[in-house]
Amino acid sequence: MKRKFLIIITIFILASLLSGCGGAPAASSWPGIVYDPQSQTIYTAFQSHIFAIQSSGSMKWRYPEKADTNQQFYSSPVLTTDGQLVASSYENKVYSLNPANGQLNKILLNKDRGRFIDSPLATQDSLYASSSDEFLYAFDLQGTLRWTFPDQTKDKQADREKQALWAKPAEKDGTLYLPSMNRKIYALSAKDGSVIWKQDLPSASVHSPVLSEDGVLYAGTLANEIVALDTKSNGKLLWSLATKGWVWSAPAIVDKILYFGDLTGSFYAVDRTNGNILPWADKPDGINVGSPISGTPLVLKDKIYFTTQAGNLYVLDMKGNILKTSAVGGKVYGGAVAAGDQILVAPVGIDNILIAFDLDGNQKWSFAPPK
Amino acid sequence: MDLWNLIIVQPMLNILLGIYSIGLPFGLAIIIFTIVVRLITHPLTAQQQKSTQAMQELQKSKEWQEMQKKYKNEREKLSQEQMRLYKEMGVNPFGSCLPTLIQFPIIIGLYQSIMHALGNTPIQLMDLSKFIYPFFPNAFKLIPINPQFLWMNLGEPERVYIGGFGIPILAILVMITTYMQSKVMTMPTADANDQSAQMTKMMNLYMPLMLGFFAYSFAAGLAVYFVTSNLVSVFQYTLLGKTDWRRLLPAGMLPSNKK
Repeated sequence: MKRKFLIIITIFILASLLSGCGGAPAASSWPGIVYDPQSQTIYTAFQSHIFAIQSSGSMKWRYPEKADTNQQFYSSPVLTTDGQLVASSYENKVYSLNPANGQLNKILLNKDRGRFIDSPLATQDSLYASSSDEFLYAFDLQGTLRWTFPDQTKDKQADREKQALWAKPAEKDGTLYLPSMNRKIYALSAKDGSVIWKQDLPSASVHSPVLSEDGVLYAGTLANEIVALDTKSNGKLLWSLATKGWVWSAPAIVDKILYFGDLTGSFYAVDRTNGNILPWADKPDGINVGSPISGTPLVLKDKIYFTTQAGNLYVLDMKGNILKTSAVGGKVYGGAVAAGDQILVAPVGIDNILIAFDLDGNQKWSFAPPK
Repeated sequence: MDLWNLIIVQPMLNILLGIYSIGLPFGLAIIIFTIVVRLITHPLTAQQQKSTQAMQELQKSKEWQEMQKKYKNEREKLSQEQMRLYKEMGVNPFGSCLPTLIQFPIIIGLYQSIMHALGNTPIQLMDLSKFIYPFFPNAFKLIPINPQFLWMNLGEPERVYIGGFGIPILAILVMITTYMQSKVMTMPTADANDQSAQMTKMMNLYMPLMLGFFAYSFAAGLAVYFVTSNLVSVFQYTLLGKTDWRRLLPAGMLPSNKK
């Protein structure tokens, strides 16, 4: 009997250890945040729910009311021009909700394979969703599929590059700029998905690239560098800057400066015209806070805000002096998001999934989902 | 980085990446790595076989069998006598279990290495940057790893869809090879009703189910490890001359050894 008990215990321990070591999707994401200034509502998606939260921190609604553990959200919802709240799930569905009350309008897209890691890109009349099943899906706001990239109707294996798409594309003047895990950036026609040009990168870029007004594309890569590509010259490399670690998220652009962090905890301020680090940030060790910076920094008025995985919100002045370090708690993977005169941060690993700070970095309120 | 990751997961992950960096599919890297691990732990396997054999011989001894009859209604006394005999004969009753238990950290470490290396989710991929040795040449060119191997995605539970129904081929293979491994390597006991025989019978039943369940539920990369490990085990025992393929047959079909 004792031995039988021993076997059962061993099985239980092994199963627990294995399931705790990365298989469970719940431990692999963080809340994504979007703020609607018109209704002064914050929308966030995390694990099995999408939440609508008033800017005072109280919950308006959540969808679904009862958690569906088979459904996980890895990215923030997006608002469309016709008033839908759209969210893509890890289980490859795209939901359309009524942002006023959280009622499901319809499921716009339902695929049987792959994962949606990032939010869809919403334009005037279309949605573009990147899937780990190697396809970018372009569909109208009613969910009618317009095209896929690569073209699923031809679906020649030889034409496909067999790598997942994680990040949503960026869009400008009818052209989509799509980073792929196969170490490329594609420029696609938003009309039909045809390739305008493609450019090799030294490694994968996991975030949506950022476009400047003058048509320069900025993308961080897993090869410890950030690159600037000229979209007017078929993605020609303008400059690249070596970083200490992987650049996980898009830089913030303010005037001629790019602000971004890397996974070693280094924070950079770079002249975007030439890729030179600004003198105040060009210290021997850079500005290093010792914990990965995986979210895009936020620049508001005369302050820079960024978060670290160690669970801190840093407030810097425009010369890089740290004005305040606010402990958020848990781990913070995503960047700080502005919501009116508040800064929102979404930690994981603690009860609160949203914490609001004032512009000086003092905590105002926190939100924990009701049980 | 904690001690577990530092001494188990990080070296395993970098070895896997090292094998992958020579241009092999990641599934093949797992297979090669498993074979290497099995070769390194071969002394343990040989020790396990030795202990099992000593145990079998002990159980065939006259003294053991008489003891079973004498104390068949006194379980506590029987246990005491068995322990005495183990001590006298210099047999460690856990000698055959210990090498199996030592495999558990390897299984867990390998699973974590595979999941981190494949970086199936953003956090797993992000964590990978901490695990790659700084001196690993051009590691960024390998990332992200292509998870496709044969018909499967190594980062996800494997299914082959036929008519809309997902068949877990790999989990079935894991169960078959685990059963095969345990059957061909387990020597028959003199008394099928004794406690050790019951225990062996139970293990032979539970292990394939347990590993099959893991293969069904977890990433296919782990199932590739199980299948390879089972096949290598059988091969190792064959080399040691201990494999008896007749044991795969149902008990009633086994040819009698008595003359």
